[in-house]
Amino acid sequence: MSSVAADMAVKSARAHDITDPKRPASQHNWLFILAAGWLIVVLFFVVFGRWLPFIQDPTAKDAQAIAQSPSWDHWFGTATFGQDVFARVVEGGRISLFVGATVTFIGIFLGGLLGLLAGYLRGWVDSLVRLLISVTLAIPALLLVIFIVTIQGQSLKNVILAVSLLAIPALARIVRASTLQVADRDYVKAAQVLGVKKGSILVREVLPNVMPTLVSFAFLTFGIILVAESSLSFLGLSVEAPTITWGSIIAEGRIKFSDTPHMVFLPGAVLFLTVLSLNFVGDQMLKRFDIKESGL
Amino acid sequence: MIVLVAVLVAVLALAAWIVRVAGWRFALQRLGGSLLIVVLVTFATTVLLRQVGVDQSQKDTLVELGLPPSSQPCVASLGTGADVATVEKCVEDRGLDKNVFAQYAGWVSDLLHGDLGYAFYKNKEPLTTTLQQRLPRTAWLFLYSQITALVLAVPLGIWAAYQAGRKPRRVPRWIFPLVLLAMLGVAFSVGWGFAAVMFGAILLPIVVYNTYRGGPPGDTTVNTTAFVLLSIPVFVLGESLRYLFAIKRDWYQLTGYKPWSAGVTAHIGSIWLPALVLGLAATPVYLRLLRADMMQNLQQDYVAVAKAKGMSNTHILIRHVLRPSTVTLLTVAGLNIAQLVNGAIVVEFIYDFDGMGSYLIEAVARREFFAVQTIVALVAILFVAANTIVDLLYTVVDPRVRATVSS
Amino acid sequence: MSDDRSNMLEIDDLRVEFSTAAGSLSAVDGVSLQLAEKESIAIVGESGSGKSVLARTLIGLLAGNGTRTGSIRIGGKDIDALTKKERKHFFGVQAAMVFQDPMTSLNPVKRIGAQLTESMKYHLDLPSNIANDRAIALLRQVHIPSPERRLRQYPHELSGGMRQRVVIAMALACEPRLLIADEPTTALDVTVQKTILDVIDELRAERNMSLILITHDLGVAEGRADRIGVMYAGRLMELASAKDLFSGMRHPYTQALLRSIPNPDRPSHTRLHPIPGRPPDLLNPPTGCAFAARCRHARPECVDNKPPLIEGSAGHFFACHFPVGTPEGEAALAENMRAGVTGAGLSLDEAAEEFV
Repeated sequence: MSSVAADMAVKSARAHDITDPKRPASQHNWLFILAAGWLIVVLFFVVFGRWLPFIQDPTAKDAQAIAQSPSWDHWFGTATFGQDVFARVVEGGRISLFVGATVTFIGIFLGGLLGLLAGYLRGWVDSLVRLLISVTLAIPALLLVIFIVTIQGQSLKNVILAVSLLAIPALARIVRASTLQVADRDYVKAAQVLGVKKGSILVREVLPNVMPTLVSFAFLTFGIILVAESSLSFLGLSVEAPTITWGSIIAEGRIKFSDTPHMVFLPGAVLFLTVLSLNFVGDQMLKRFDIKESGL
Repeated sequence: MIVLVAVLVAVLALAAWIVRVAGWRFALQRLGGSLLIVVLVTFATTVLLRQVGVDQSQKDTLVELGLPPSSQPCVASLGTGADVATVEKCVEDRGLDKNVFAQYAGWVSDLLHGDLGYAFYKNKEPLTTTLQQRLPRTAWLFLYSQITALVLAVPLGIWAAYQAGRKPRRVPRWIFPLVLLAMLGVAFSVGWGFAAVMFGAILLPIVVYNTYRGGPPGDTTVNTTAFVLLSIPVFVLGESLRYLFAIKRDWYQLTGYKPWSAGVTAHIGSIWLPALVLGLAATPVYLRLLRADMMQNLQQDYVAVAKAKGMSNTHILIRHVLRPSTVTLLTVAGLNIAQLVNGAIVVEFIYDFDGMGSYLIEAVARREFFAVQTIVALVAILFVAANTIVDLLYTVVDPRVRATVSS
Repeated sequence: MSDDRSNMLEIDDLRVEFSTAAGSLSAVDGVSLQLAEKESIAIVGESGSGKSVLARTLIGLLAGNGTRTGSIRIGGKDIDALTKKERKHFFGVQAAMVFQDPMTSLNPVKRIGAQLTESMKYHLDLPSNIANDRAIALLRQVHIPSPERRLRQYPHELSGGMRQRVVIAMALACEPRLLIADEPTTALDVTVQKTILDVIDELRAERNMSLILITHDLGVAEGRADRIGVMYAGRLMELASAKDLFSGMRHPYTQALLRSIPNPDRPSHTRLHPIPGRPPDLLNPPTGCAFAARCRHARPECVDNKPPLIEGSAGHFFACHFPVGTPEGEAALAENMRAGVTGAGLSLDEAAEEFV
């Protein structure tokens, strides 16, 4: 899934230069701050939510307040058994963001390593990595994750493992392409001619130039993983109940949709805005840092 | 039978054509590569299947019952109530008592003989029957969604690319507070309806981005909308539209799929909303790619040449720029089949649409591992096949590729 | 050229400005020019002199950030006053253009035939078979062997020279009366250059076309154009018949250009003289003569006042306060030589000149 998204992100970022080469991307600072701000707010609530006094107990049932619309007492309304939806969203974010962050980290680390080695060393390493990428990308992502999670059992560990299997090849592909580009540059060749050791060239010359692209894609990947995990838990295939995730809140709300639309739309909006912010930040970074031949 | 022959003839014709255009060596090379991937993927599913719940406690339980530990997939599929004899028969049928290679060979041989196995829970209905029944539904869903996506993305992408070459204009900033006010007004008069919240969540970023980006307005609006649409998870989009069209209004009935034979209105009426959701999910991807590609191609010298020849803008966009720009679109459409399968699983689940996606979810829920394995393998085969065809079509679209391939 | 109605092209005080991030850039700065029917003119200048922008502007190709003032009349019609209907079939029919790089001028995914016939079908409403026949005839005229086969080929199957012939054939498809050739040979091998120029010459004679030949090479212009205009920093510096220009150039820039290119007629080991300095920054153009800073004739007056383009003798225009071959010019040069430095501060050291 992310391969298409990645191609598109790169292409669109480059098209930006055509529309207006003279207009620097930094003009979007205002929006960039807005997007980054939203991410920080979400992160703050999710990390410190359990200790914030105004956030209620996400599991406390209240027979007096069942399936209520949003109010001052319950910002996001209440769930089927009267639980506070806002508290549930904050609590659910823990799993969703944790999975997203962990998988992105694993993907960046392992995918980046594979891509870097494949793109720089070429030869059989490259062939192997390419085969690995094609095989993994040959199965529709969600299908693969569903298959793995059902076989291995729906635990946090297995969800992370399965989703990582998507992120690694997708990121390896990006990093490989970008390494190929960098490795072709004259300064890399110059270092080779001077007899600098391969490992040292990789770390000193190639890696720093691939890093910006990698970091930009980290944000885009985070968004994609967040959606993947949420879809999984929406289908009831992620971490099993009673653990709360954003997807599971929505899945619960959709059952009696006309009574509890707020359980679908408000967590949905939070998820959407988070993904939007991640995409925007990633997109902007890509525009700013993308290695362009013209820029050399 | 007739359908099968027709499909076979079509495939052979396509193959012959591709071989004629691209040459034997290239075609075989690609086919060989694809076959290798298919083998590796299906083999991987077999290996994975053997891993079903093999923790120590479960193994111990099996040993107590006098069953080999490798029979776990059968036990899981049949349910705990199954007697030992049934499990043993299943283990033998599926080759779980043999090593993984033998098991895989058995699976492939069954597959080549047209035996896809069966799911236990529907009176052992053969998977082929299920496929016959459900695959067309999903196929229609795919077809309609792709038509929707292309109908939306191609003209808008072309238009946006054309607009992007025009003078940048900044949307006046006062529009921003004005829209905010208008939205607040709507929210207060209609009530804090959730539709309004969603409406705001979509519109607000568009307005903000548009105001501060200050590019050519037409292009910026289209591109930003695509960007925003891209960030809406399919299931959120699906649920939102279900709420709007199937719950708040009865424009769409969740009564399941109706075939063409039931009448055009019934058929379209039973499928339009899920197709729209899938289509809307694919639209921004196609749109942004096409736009980026067209913008790049519009910079080419031959566009200036065509302009100097006095050709109209429409002629240049459609006849000169669109075709080289479709090369990427084509590849992405191929790769996007994966995305489509993901979407279909979610959308069919949301709309109780009884196609392959919802069958898969059912099978997973009932721990029908063998059925799931076969479906995963089949989808992978289809996906690889589609991408191989796209790869070969490449040569047809771009004569330069043909030249490098044949030389 | 005395009678306005027989003029194929009239440009009056044409100015083209581009707005860039660094400010407004004046690429063409007040060019006026008349071109009679069947006449050919060569516009010569260094890169950045605005000659290509001039050509593109004439054919109606101005980039989105460019603005144009001044009038252009092609075939007696002001291109700004065209009705929508007239405009639809104007460019490509009245005037056509051959571009610099044949490798990129042709659409790589369309067959030669389709690219040749599309304008005939569009502008002249010809049916396919007639358009095809005409395309074959055109290819024959530009000396492409076995034209029937070429129609079905793609651009990448042809060599650069062949492609440029196709581009020329394409430009001529609707029988334009004015052909603008923007450095048609720059991107080609030296061996092919002459044949392409010959083809253009031949077709011009056959079809009684007017021709504007844009080039950076005075050698190309020589013998192929009735008149030659020398452009520098967006302005016409000198405009004269080819004969007058080579025998009696007036502008020091023209002289400098000639001195900087090799000439087989001159004795061997004649030193070539590069032009010192660089073209002016068009974002901050000098107030006076744009060439003053590099000119051996420059006096303080040149730095302050822009010389207008005046008609020195019949049909010989130049924009210079101290023209070459006039008493004023010689005096200015002698004065500068004596001082060792021009009025614009350029050192006239022979040694310095050699190594610039």
